[in-house]
Amino acid sequence: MATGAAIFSAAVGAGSAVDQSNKQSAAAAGMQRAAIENAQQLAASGNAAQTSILRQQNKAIRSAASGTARAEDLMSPFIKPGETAFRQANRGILSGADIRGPLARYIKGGAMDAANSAPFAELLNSQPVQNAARGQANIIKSGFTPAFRQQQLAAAQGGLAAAGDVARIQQRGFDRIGDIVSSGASQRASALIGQTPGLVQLASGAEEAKLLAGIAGQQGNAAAIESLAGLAGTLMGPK
Amino acid sequence: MGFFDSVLSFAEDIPYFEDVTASGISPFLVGGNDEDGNPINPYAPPPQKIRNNKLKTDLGAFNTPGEVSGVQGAYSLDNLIRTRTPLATDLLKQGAAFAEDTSRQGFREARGLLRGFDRPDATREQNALLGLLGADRQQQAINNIPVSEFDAELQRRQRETLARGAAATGDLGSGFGLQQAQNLGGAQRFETYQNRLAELEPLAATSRSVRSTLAGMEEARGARGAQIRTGLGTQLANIRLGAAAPIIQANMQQASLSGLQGIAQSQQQGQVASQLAGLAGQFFTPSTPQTVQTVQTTQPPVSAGKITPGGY
Repeated sequence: MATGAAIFSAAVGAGSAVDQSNKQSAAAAGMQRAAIENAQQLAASGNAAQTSILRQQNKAIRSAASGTARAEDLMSPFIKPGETAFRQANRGILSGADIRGPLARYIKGGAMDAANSAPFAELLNSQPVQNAARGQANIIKSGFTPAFRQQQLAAAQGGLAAAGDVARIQQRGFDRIGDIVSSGASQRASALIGQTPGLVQLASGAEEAKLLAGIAGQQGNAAAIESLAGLAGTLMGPK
Repeated sequence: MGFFDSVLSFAEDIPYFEDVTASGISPFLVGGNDEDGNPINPYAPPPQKIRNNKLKTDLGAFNTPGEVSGVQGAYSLDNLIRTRTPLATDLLKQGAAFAEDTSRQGFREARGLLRGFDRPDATREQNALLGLLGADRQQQAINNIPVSEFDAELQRRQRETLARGAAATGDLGSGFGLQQAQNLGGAQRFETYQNRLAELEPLAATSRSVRSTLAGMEEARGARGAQIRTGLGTQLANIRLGAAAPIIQANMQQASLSGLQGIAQSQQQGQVASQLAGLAGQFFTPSTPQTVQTVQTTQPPVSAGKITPGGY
């Protein structure tokens, strides 16, 4: 009868140890699964976060570029005429050339009209007088050249101011885009790297759970073996 | 095409990450619509409607993103986050869209006020008169210089005065008189030309100034839009990341609870079994202790770990 009790008791002990070990293994495996799932979750949320940042960053770049491009468009029409005025004034002043073209003809025309009008018109019947009058008209036109160059330089100054505005607009535009990209990159990096401690923790948690499962299994085996060893001792020991 | 125009088209080509990440992202994390209004996950529950508040102010009425309708109780954390995440992201996007619209509206209204002062005709005529747009345009502009009746009369009288002076000094038929007349004629033309340029200058300057102001406003509008978008990106990212934390915690808690429950059950069962074993031991133990004592006297001491019948 005592042997039966020992067998029963040993069986119950071993069974209980194995059952507990299984439950502990299952718990540890559950923790491991949860840790893996969570790591995937965290990685996915990190990807989603940095995708959001990237998308909004692209929109921010477009918005900044659009503001810069429109601002440029508003000021650009002043630049080219200013450049032309500066080039012409520069060339005219350095070469000492007189006014040419339509303005020269306009001024000379005024001088010749005055000569052709009463009471001087009769004088122009003489060819030498006519030639002298033409020469005088040229001289008059030449006399207004410095004043005209000043007008050109004033236009060049206006163009230069616009060019300065556009240059600053462009510089700010480039800076702004650079800032957006670098800040976006920093945020994306933070979104990704910020998860690392969490991922590491989860990975180590999963590893610990795995170890615990192993230990639980070993302990369960040891307890079962101990029970069986006890039983063997009882049965095979001296009567 | 300028650099910034090329950026506008380039930005469209930057690949998004959704193709890479879509399969790996839990549906509740990518619920709602993307920034273009398309559903990120077509299988996700449709986002609930967010009612707009009518807000009346001195600047007019605004439809601000208002209370969120249709927020229901959740039966699980997943469900709660699945429901709330798209609502939160939509609310953020609506807030950003509202900020952008308001900024745009403010810009439009301000531009409307300034636009009336932006007349490029004066600048164009000035440029043409200076010969900056070519000889033909300069000729045309000079021909079209308006001369008022007053100026025409003034010039006529100047010429008359000159002629009278020449007559008085006896220079009327002389070369000197002719030269004086020619000088006056040329000067009058250049004066007409200069007066026209001077007349146009305040108009052109106003146009330049208004354009400079408008350029500043355009730039500020673009920068503001960029700021709103950058902020939105950060906030959306926070929501995406923030949604993961409670889920992770809940998952771990659930796993831990479920494991502990299993272990506790097992321990309970073990205790019951152990009690049963004890009971069985008592029940089946022999009732003659002498036999055991007799056995014990002839036996070596029982080693530890062995079952010792007799209740010792």
